[in-house]
Amino acid sequence: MDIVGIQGIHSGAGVTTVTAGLAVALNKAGLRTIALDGNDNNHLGLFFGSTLSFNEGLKTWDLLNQTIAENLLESEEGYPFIPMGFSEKRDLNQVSEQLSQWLAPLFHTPERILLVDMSFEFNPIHSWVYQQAKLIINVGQPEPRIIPSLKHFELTTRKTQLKHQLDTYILLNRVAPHLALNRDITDYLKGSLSKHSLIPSFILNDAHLSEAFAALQPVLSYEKHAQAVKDFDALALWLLTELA
Amino acid sequence: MLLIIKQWQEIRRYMLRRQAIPHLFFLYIEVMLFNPQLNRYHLNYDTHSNSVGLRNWFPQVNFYSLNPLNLVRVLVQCLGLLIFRLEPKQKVSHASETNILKTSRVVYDYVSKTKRKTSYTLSKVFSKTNTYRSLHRLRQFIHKQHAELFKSKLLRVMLTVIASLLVLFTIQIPMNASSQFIMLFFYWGVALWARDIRKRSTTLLMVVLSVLVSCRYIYWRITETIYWDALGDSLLSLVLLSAELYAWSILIMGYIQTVWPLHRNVASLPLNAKEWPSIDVFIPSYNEPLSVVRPTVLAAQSMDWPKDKLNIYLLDDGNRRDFSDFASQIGVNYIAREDNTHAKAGNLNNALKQSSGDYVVIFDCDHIPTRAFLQLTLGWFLKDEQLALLQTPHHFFSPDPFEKNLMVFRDKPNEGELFYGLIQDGNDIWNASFFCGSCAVLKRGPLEEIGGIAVETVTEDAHTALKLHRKNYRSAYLNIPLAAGLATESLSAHIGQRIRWARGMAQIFRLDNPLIGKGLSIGQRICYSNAMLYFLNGLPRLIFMLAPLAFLLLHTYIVFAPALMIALYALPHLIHAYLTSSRLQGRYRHSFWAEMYETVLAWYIFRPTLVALIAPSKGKFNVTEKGGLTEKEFFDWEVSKPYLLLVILCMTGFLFGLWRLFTGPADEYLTVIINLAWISYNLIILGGAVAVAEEAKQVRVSHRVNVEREIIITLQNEKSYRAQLKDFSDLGAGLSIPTNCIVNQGETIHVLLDDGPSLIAFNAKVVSRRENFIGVLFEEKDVAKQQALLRATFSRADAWVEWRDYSKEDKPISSFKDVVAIGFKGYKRMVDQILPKLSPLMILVARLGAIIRSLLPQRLGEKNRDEYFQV
Repeated sequence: MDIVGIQGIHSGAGVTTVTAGLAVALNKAGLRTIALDGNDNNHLGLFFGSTLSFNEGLKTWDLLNQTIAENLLESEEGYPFIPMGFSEKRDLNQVSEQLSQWLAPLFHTPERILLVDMSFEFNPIHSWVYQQAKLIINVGQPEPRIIPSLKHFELTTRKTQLKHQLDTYILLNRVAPHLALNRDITDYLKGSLSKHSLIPSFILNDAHLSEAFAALQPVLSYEKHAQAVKDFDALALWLLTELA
Repeated sequence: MLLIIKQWQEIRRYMLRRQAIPHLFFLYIEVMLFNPQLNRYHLNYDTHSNSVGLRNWFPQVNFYSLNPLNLVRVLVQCLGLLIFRLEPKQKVSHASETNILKTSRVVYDYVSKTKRKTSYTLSKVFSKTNTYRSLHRLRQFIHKQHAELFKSKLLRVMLTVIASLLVLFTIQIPMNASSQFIMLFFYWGVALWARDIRKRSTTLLMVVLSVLVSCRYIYWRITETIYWDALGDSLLSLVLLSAELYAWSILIMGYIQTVWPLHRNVASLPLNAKEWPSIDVFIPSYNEPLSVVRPTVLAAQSMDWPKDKLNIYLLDDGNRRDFSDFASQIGVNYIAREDNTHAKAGNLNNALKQSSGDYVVIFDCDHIPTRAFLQLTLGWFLKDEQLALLQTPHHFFSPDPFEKNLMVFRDKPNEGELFYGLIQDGNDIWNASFFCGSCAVLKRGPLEEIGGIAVETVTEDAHTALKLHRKNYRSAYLNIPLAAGLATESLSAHIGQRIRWARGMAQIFRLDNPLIGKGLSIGQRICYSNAMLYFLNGLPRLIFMLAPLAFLLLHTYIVFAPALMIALYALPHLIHAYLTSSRLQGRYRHSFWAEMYETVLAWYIFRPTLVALIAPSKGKFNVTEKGGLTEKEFFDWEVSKPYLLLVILCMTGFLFGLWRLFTGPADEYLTVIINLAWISYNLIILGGAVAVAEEAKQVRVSHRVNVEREIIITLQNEKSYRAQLKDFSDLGAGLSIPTNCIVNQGETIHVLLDDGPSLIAFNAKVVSRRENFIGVLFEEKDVAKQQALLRATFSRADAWVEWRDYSKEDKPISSFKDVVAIGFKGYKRMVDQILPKLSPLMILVARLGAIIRSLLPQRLGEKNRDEYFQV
């Protein structure tokens, strides 16, 4: 199994959206891919159709005595996902300690990918991902605050990622060529970031994404002709070639 | 049994009893013989499947309604299947399929964890240059045959002498009919065998055979077929002989010119852009509207080159206010002249004096350059100090009058393809590629050395190149379309343009004959002479058109020989010439099309060329009209008048021939039949020439370029969809969008297109919607945005790269069928125009033709139900 972490360069970069969309695209391409919510706010499940009142997840399950096979959830279309859940009793330290054991049956299964939705603020799941993952996708939006955020990212997060010998890449999310500032920042980033670190495909700003989220559906099920679906397909292809 | 009854009941719902019985009978036979999937033949033929059934083997037989003729068809097809290779028609592959394949391959690679090899389309262009490979092969070819021996000049001369003696022996050896037949039958067999082998050496073999047979024919014609005793006869036969001599020399020179095309590739520029030279771009204009010139200037301005080394000059010979305003608005140089002496050449020379760049690039005012033009062309100049000229093809995104009026746009190679696809590449190996007036780079030093662009003739371009070659400068041809423009709009405009070329070439031939004078190699002399003499084809073609009349009407023997001998000498000459030409140039011009192109021009160019040969300084420059409209269909009587006359003459000859066949002496039968066949061929070609004269409608102001490209659209509500760009023009575009994408007429959307590395959103107004298709008009006022739009459409580096498909082999027989069909179309149009009462007769003839065609063996492949009912 390959583990891929998805992390934000700045807050609200759209990490959860990218995780869900990419997981769906990979599954569609024929690779069983599991999306794992590593974020305290427990949003990922909503992309796969779970309801607001559904609170089960890593925090509520007995990770020590159960295995993933007993807990794994699937969306209506059959896309597997693991929500964070909500519980006041357990903190993320515990979860991250038990995660490896709980996922153990998967570790030796080839042709599986685990996508981890990582929060912007550092939490114990990060350390777990850094130790286990092969590749990290850092998501950012072409808006003014990405420039200072990138500087900060370069000095802190990226250094840590490189220390763990991870392949680290930057993905642009919510690219909107019809907005002049957005387009200029996109072009600036394309010109100034090393082509080895910037992923050649990007996710376009597409209102289908928020509408699909509001409808508690993956965007593929909501509108299969949406550009976002194609963008996630392209990203999935890129990821597969990187992992191969 | 129940099933049969059920099927019977179902079939009787739409078939008569007498139709239903044989239908079911054949159906069951088919099921038994070929065992196709049963569900497919469950009386419902709409399902698609790849399995092979009876309908695939007998595509011409309509099993829905059988009649006695079908028995004949089945028998003929069985025979055909035994004798010929009736390959099925090729299926079109869909882009979506390749995408799926690509996806599955990536997934497969991921699963198998193997490294994937990436291949780029452009890598072919940039890989180890073809040019060197070609030269290398040429050397290899010479060296392979025991290289050491060939290095000695004496031996080479001796071998040439021996070979020439052998050739002379073969050409002149007298033979009786049966020996001649055996020898030529053998040659023909060799040529047919060689035709299927894709090797350079077999091409050479075919050329050698064709040259031998044609020389033998010409030798025989000169020595044995002129009747000197009757003055009238011998005069007429000398006229025909001179036309044949002309055709023969053009054929031989054409072989030399095109036998080894160079296929030059791109040479790279230094990595440091500071070492790149400075460029002046000249865009001459005289009377074209600003709407035509504007995109060219904008695109030239945004070519990829350091801005401080790129100067654009708009050369306005019309001295127009709106042009100077436009130039100052976008910041390009504007030059106008007081007088218009020497037309375009004078205009360019005037600009040459007022500029100083290292290189001069010339674009006709409607040729929109791609952004990569300079980067792909300039490399050769830095590699080769002596290079003074690099020409790229003239590419047209609008149909020329032939393509438009015969409705074959992008279906068949167009008229210019032969020249830009093959001849220029062939010239290149002789260092003789010409300057064609536009889409070319010239080096300033050499150009100034020869006194600028030549002004002595009306084809200043070819003459300039000739002058450069005389000074020992080199020229190059890069066969990648890097600029595109408008083709001439109407047949009359096309003829006007060709008259100018023909006159100019004849002028050069007189004033600065490439056969004499200093500085040229033999190859260059041949290439130039062929280019110039080619335009003298008007008179010989008319002679060939009228020659059979000499016998049919006047009963004159212009070829004084028994009919059998004529057949034995002339037919092999023609067959070999057609086979070899088809091999050499079939991909660039299908067989028999040249006749049609040349016949249309023959009448019009023969007079100006004759005048130019006699008095070369007479005649004026006419500007080719472009960017016009043809508001309704009309028949251009003015243009086709001479051809109607020829048609009437040939028809009369044909009728006379029939009369002679029935009343004449028995020993003339073969002669009459040969002449009848000849004149029928002429009539077909003339029909084609007439068909072109019916001008099809052209109502769009700007031409739409058809493409198939995945793009993105974003609506006002920020929803983005994947769409397909189907066509574009400088004003608007046609898109195919998903069905559930809600967008209404009048709405403004963003069309997202790639401008190099950046994705740009262009505002566009939806002006029409039909099902999944929308038409949009771009609403960009900003010049920078307009330039970006051009770079995303007309000026994309790869905009025209895959436009010309050279992979299609020429099939002489099917090409002949096409020409016959076009000829028939011409007569049908003629009848509709002159004698509308006879139209039903033409329809009857067409039906008869269709029935006869359906009796011939057919290529395999099922037809769908509708196709039958059309026939």
